[in-house]
Amino acid sequence: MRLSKVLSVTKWEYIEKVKTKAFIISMIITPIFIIAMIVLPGLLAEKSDNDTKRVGLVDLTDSLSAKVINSIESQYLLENGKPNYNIIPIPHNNESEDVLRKRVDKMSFEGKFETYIIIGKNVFRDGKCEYRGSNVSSIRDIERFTRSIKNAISEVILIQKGIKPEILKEINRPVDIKSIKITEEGEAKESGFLQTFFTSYIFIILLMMLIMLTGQMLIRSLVEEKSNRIIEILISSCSPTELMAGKIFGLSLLGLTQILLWIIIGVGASISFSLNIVSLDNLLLIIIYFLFGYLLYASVFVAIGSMSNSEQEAQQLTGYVSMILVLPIVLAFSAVQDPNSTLIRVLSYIPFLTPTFMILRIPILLPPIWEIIVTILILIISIIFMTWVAGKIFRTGILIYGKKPSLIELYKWIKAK
Amino acid sequence: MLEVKNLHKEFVNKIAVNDISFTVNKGEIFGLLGPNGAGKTTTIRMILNIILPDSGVVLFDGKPFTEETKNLVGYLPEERGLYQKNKLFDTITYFGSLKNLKISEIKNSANYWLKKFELAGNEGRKIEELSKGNQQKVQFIISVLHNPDMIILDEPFSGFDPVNQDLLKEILIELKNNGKTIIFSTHQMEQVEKLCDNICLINNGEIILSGKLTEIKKNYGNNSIIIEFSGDGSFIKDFKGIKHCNIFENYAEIIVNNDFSVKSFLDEVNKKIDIRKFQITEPSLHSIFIEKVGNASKVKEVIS
Repeated sequence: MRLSKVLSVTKWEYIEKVKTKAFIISMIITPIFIIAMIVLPGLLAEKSDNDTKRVGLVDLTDSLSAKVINSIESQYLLENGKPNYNIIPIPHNNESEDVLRKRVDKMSFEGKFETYIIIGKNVFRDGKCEYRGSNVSSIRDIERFTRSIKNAISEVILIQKGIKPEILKEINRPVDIKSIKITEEGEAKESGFLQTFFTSYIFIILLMMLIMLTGQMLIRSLVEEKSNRIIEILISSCSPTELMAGKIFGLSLLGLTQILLWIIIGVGASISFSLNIVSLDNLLLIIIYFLFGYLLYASVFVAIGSMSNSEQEAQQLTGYVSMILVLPIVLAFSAVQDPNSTLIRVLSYIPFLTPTFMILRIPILLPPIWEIIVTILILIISIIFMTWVAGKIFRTGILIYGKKPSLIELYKWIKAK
Repeated sequence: MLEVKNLHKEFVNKIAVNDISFTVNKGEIFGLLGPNGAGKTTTIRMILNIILPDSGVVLFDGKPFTEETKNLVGYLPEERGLYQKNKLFDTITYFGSLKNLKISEIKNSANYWLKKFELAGNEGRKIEELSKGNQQKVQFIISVLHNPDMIILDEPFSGFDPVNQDLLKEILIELKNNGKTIIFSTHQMEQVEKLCDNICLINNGEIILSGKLTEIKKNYGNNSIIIEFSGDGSFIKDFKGIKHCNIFENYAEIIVNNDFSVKSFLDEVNKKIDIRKFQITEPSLHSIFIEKVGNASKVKEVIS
């Protein structure tokens, strides 16, 4: 293999692709998309209300409303110090429950309040209440109301049993749990579940997008070269191995450029929005898996591109690749809950899943060092093997036109001298 | 210069090239002829080490053709294509650098050839903005940019208008006079007749005719008649002693046997149609091609 020819190909693949509109657009759009995807749901879910919510309350037991109102209004405050909820007691006229519901629903539609609670007549026995309104989807609101009503009920029961109100206050004091992640170095750092989760998540999505994006570019250029026979001029100037190596290097450089830009944009964004969504522990290890994963998939795309005659044909195959890449995201939730589960551990030893699953596991719970060494070795061996296979397929595939090769034909290509 | 020895290549269920051997001398123009699917392109690809033969060798200046030899050879593939979205000069630079040219050498050579093909000033344009003919010129430039000793052209004339065909012909002769060896394959026999020193005719992967063009024609002798006429000439094919004939709307080319009587033929023809030209000559390569390849109807399709 002659370096000068490899470099010629590398330079061409890199410079000509960096200049394309598709690359420039994705370079800018992708990070915006990722940041939006990660930040927006978080912001929306965590966002506290800006205004006091008016909530109606019908107490069919006639014994809880004062306590519930007091507890809700005093306990939950907005950022500006005003109460988060304004509870409006609604008298019931001993009418039937259906009539009551109709009447109060109407009040809600008239805008007297947004939602309302009915404390059931038999709440002391069956605990049944109702929360009604046109928008009752806030889990946080429901959770708060439930807790307040429950506290009020226990208060009433305990007072009946002769417990003093001061003691009740102590019993009902809320507990605030702060989660702190510890590392072996003994540093304790405050860390949320979301942060570890997003770290895995962001790196896997970045890897996935990068592989798909540059992979598609590689395929597009290979299919173009094949379909208009540029490949013959190329192969009459350099060897297929040189051509393939040049393409993979160019592609990797392209990927690195993209990562670098994304990191710059990411750091810039997190500074300017003062977001701390990514935990940067073990970043180096993540980057190693990231790069190895990238190289492994690059050889897959070389193989796909060289045996396809059109982009549509290639797309079927890249579809499977993206399914493999998405798998860890599907399993991310269970991995967070139990990072040492047998399933997750076994899957991280399957070469094509190793990079993404290790990236998934590292931020959650650093796997033992021997697992890291073994998986990296598996990756290196797979990269060498896949590049060899891809080289064989490439050598034959780029000059074969017409129908897609069968698995038997592929095997013959790989076995060919 | 180039020796091809017993090249053999089989694809899945077809023998593409069967035991082909020929020699191309330095400074000559060599024609590789044959109908579509005859194995010309496969032969060329094996010469260039693009695909490996099952058996046989290719010697370049007495040594096996290696990766290094690729720098000394230029190649224009049959089906034309270039990177459509890239700029002309960038494209030329890339292919030049793949032949180990320095950037200054690329610039000099590109300027020379672009001027020659009246393309100077288009360096910054995208390939897709050029006409098909001009794209083809760019491809030709790419094949000669690195001043190769040997140039292999697969159907170089197809796609060019007559003016550019003449331009290309002049350039090929110029290259030959500069000592370059040129191998080209074509279906256009008149170009071969005007340019080639030696030819090799391939059909179904085998050589069916090869040698010096002048000698091949001489061997056929003056047994060919060309008539230009107006009227219905279809009766000609039934005349006694005709070995082979090609009849067109107002032109016919006939290869005859020994028992053919020119006088009675001329009398008969004169009666039935209006003769504008009657010539007894050596056969055109076209006729030889068709006679040799045999399946005339199939070939006519190819040639037209």
